[in-house]
Amino acid sequence: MLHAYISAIVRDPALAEDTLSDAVIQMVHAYERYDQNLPFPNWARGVARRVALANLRKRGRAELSMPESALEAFESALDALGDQTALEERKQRLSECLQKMTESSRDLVQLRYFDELGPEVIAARVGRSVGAIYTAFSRIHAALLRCLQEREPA
Amino acid sequence: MTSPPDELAFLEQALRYLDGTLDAATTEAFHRTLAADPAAARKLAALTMQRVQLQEMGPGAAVLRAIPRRSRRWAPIAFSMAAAAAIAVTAVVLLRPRGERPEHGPVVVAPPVAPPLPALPPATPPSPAGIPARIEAVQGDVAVVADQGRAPAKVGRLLVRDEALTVGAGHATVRINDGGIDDGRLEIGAHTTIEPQSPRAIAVTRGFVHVDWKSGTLALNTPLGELRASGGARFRLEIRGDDTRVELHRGALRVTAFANGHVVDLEPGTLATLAPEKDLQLERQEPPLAVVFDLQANPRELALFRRMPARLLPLLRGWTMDKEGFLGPNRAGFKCAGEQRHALNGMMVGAALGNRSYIEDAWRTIDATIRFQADDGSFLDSVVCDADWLGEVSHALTVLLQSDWERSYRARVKALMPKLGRTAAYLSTPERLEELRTYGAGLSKGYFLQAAAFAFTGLLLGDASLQATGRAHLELGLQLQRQDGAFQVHDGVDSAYQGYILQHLGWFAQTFPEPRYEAAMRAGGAWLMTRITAAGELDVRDNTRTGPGCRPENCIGVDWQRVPLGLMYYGLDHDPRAVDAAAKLRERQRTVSR
Repeated sequence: MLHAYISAIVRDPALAEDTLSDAVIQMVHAYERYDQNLPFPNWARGVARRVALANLRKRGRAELSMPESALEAFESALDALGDQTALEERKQRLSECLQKMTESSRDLVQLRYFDELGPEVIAARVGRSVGAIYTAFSRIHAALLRCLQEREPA
Repeated sequence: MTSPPDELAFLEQALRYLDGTLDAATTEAFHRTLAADPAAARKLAALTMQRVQLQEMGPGAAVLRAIPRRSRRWAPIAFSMAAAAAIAVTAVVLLRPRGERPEHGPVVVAPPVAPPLPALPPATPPSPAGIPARIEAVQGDVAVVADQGRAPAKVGRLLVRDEALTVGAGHATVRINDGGIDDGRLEIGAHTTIEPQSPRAIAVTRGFVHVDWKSGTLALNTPLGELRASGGARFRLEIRGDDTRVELHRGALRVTAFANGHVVDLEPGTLATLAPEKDLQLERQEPPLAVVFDLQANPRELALFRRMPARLLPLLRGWTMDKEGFLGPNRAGFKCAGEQRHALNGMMVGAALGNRSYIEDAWRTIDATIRFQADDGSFLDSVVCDADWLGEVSHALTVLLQSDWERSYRARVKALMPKLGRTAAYLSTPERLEELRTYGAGLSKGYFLQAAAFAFTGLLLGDASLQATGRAHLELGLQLQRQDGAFQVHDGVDSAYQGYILQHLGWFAQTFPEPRYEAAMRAGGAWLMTRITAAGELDVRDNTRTGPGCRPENCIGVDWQRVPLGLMYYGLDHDPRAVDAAAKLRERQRTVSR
């Protein structure tokens, strides 16, 4: 959950990982100040958000960070995905959905998410334009979202 | 069932948003949509979660990737909460101290309480997107390409993820320096594109890259396979047409072919070829001379030759030879090794034009000459003859080794090198050096060609002492340049010799670049241009060796190949008019003598 939250704020996979690492360290350091009467996820997100903004500032990209209103809507939407157990179940369903994809789609997923190649590199590798790669991934994600919806427990 | 077009459009925009590739205006509009439309926020949340979960599913999962990253020294894999009085932080911390960097580092599963933190690594200023790849040198057409557009590459700039460094007709050096440690450098050849993906993963989509890697692991992703280098590896990657070729000079390199998943650990001296739909091909061969890596990493002079007018190059191959490879006076019996040098331009012209027969002709003169080498390294002629030949041959080989022909001629070059070394040693005694300097004092050109003999042979043999001798001779030659740029020749000047000197000085400016050599080239070339008429004739009126003012015992004719070559060495970097003048001179071969 926290990784997804940070990913949307910083919009850079490497920076998201750096930020997640930094945020966890901050949380451990600041744990004594955590008011245990308050929900932990909200506190953790608050720490992560501060760290993410600091990292964006360091890279001169703070002006493109998500404004408060959009961030609130996004946080609510993330919460609606459920707790840790629900997310683990979701991940299991995602894995099943992935198996149902065509081979070419699975190949693209492999390149993008398993091999961590950027869209430009994938485009060069498969001989298509970057725009075509983004279009292909929008279809792949749409199909996976639809599949997840169909398999959602009643 | 298909997704509505507007949903697909939103997802595509969201993907670009999450990759950070939307421009500022579109990003702001996207933020407004999120704030105003809960359905859009839900889709983005679901998409973001999906991407993160897919990353976590990958081979080795998010816990470990084959490519080490700075962030993963501290990567927590799970961070869960416990209720009630305590929080159980389950963290898997990946600690990768510098210098060890295993491909799959140790995983330490912490107890269900907050683990004691290891000491933080020293703070280092991170690059904008975690890529510690800095452009160290740029030459010619080199640009950084991002979604925002294309900008000329500047020395000192850090490369950011999702940017590409693209080299046209030129060259660039990129240094990877992570955490204050110099991990290695990449020499990016002409017509090459690289894209850093993480501190130690770089995509190469086309062209040539020479890698000198010092520590840790480096992954190079190519369209046909992945290369994984360990510290100490030196290799050359070439992506051309359908093939990808990798030649390991030293160290260790693992190659994975995407076509069939084959994984091979190369040994030094192995050439691996990747091709679509084919098995990985391996070819064992003798490793090249050590200097080849640097020569091919930045083939400056070969590139300069390729910028010369192609129609002119075949006319600059040198003198004609007989079928046994002898030239000029040597055709009637071998007299002077130096006379054999006048066909060696063919080696460079052949390398530049890709013409093997030109290169072979040049080799014929080398083979013919070397048959007359005595045991002491001399050719039983004058030291000047020996130095002239050694200068031209070692320089011509230096350019040949910059080219793709290096592999074809590797064995011949390696067999020749000890013989060139013997001649250099023969010339290096104090008495012979003194004799050479006495000759050079009257004729600046002598210093430059002698300088080449020592410097280029020293370069090929990896002999610093010979190179130092070469530089010392070059200094003597530079001291004979007048304020107006002309070099002194027999107490005067000579426009033809000025061209020869520019040619030799140009060799140094290309291979051992220094501002002083460039300055001398600029001044010397500008002076020579004052001796060329608008009609393309060479003014020889004041010449002390090739004009009416020469002493009878010194008079010789103009070499109509070397003067144009000297003009082009000058003109291609400093004055395009000189290139036109070179073509006209070669075509007309006329002097103004009165």
